[in-house]
Amino acid sequence: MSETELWYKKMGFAENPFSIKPAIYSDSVYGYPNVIAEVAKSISAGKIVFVRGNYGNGKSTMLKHLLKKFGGQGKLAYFSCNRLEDRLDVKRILNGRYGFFGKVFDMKPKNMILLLDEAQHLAKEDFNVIMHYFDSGNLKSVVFVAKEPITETMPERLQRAVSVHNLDAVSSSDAVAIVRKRIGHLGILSDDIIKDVFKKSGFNVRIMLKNCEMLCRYAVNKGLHSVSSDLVELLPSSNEEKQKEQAKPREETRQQPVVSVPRHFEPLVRAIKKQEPVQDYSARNEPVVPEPHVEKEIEESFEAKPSEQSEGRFGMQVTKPVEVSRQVETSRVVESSREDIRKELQQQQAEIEMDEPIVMPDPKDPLSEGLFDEETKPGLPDDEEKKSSSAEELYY
Amino acid sequence: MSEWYTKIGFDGDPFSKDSGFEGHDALVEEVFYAIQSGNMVSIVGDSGSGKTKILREIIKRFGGKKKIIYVNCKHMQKLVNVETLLQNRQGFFKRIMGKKPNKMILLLDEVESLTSKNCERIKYYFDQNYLQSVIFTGKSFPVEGMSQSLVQRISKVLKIDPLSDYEAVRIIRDKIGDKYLTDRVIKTIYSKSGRNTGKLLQNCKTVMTEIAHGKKDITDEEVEKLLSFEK
Repeated sequence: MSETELWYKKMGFAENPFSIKPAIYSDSVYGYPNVIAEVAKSISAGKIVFVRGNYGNGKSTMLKHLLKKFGGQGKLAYFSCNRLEDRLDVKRILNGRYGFFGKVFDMKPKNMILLLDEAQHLAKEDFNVIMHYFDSGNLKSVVFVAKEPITETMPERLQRAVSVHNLDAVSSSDAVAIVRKRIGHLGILSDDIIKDVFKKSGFNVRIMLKNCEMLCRYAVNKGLHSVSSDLVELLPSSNEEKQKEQAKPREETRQQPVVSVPRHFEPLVRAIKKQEPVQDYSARNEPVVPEPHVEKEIEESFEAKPSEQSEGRFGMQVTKPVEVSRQVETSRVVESSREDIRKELQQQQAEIEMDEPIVMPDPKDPLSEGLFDEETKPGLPDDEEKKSSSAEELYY
Repeated sequence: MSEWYTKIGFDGDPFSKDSGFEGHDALVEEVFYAIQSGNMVSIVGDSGSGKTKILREIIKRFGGKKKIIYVNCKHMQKLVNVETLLQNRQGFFKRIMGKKPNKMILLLDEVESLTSKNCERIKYYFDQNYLQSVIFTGKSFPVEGMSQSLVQRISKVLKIDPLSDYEAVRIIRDKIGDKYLTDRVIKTIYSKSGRNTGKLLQNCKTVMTEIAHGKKDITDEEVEKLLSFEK
């Protein structure tokens, strides 16, 4: 693949327009004009501000924007706290304003504005140091930015002084504006398509940009003039949605063996899970002593009340208890039956995991080819191994 | 005593020499694209499936412009961090001034041993465009030290598929030529080695040693015998 074959070069861009780096497109920001106006106002009024927002919602981009707005007079310092070794060295940041001489003569400027990105890495002592310089007038205003609320680690005095702002998810019209700023009014992505992609990306700007890049790359390489809504359908669903989908069935499978196995076997199943020897149960006075005559009783109890067991949420559970009892009947040896039951439970779990709905593009659809690379292309529905593995690989 | 390879006319061990790159076309193209467009990519594969080989191929392609840093994270101790790595790229004076290069390409091998501190640093330098692109290579993804915001930045997770039979044969032919081992035997050895390139080379070496010690024709059964004896 040579340089000229890159999709964005074909379209006439020198660089990838959908770059997710916040440093590149930060001269104007869309999405939360109120928050930015208020933060700007508090900075010029000399206040301490804390802005929080989720991943990829534009926290760093907002800071970069503030840099451009207030920068240029040598009154602004930006520091990302995730590169800290241990403690934040405010003094060094302040001295750095005067370069080499500042370090030698320990000169500190007045009325500096300090922007701190990823402030969750700061410790309580750091906040105390910041407060010290804030009181002495070296710092005029401080802006903290983080994902989680950090006000709990702050000293009380700072907690009272700080004003908190939230960066919520941007609206879909703002998302359109963000994309328009990057690619202009090219016809390849229409406004409706951008809105669809944004929805598909879980209303997260960074994921939307990645998805837009994938779509545009596919469309340009295939020689399409615009991205159609069919293509958007093929996008993998966003991380959060996926997690929700996956979380539900897995919880059920964890409970499932307890539900399916009759009450007499519950301690046995627990023993299998913990891999404890079964003999312990007789010491605990629990009702399971798998001897031949007891097994017969257990079998009878299966036959007597099969309807109760079949009330589980999975239809397949009806057959399970009988299978388990058969295992015991045939093997007669507790140790080996334990192994078998464990294997069977694993199989059942695997089957149920196969059954869980996997959001996946239609493999027969010719459009899905090439949008995902070979590795992530979903397998045909009949080869189940491939299907399950591709579900993992689509991790986004 | 002469080594086995000198008996059949090789100067050095044919299995230890660096040979041409074979297969993984789609994956390599994807990685090249990610580097050019400035994305982070993670490559996942078992040991012996050719991860490091792919990284070497990238170095061949993009190297020579002082833009590539290759690090094996195993050797990255606590004191060595990404920050010093970037600064060491510069000359003495720039290093004193604390200047950092722009748009570097960072190749990380064995990311399992990457600390969370270094992950955060990578995130920061990527955001500031000091790093144009980062390639993570490891056995699994995501790794322990990675925060969720770093995972979100990674645009694609590429899984290394095993080579096709044809490509496996090409690799062996590249090393030992056409004289020894028929295509069919190589294919059997490949399937015996669990479709793993590293193991294929190992097993081929044992079979070739046997040939050098006097056996003329190697049939499928004999291959099986040899390899089972190995285990």
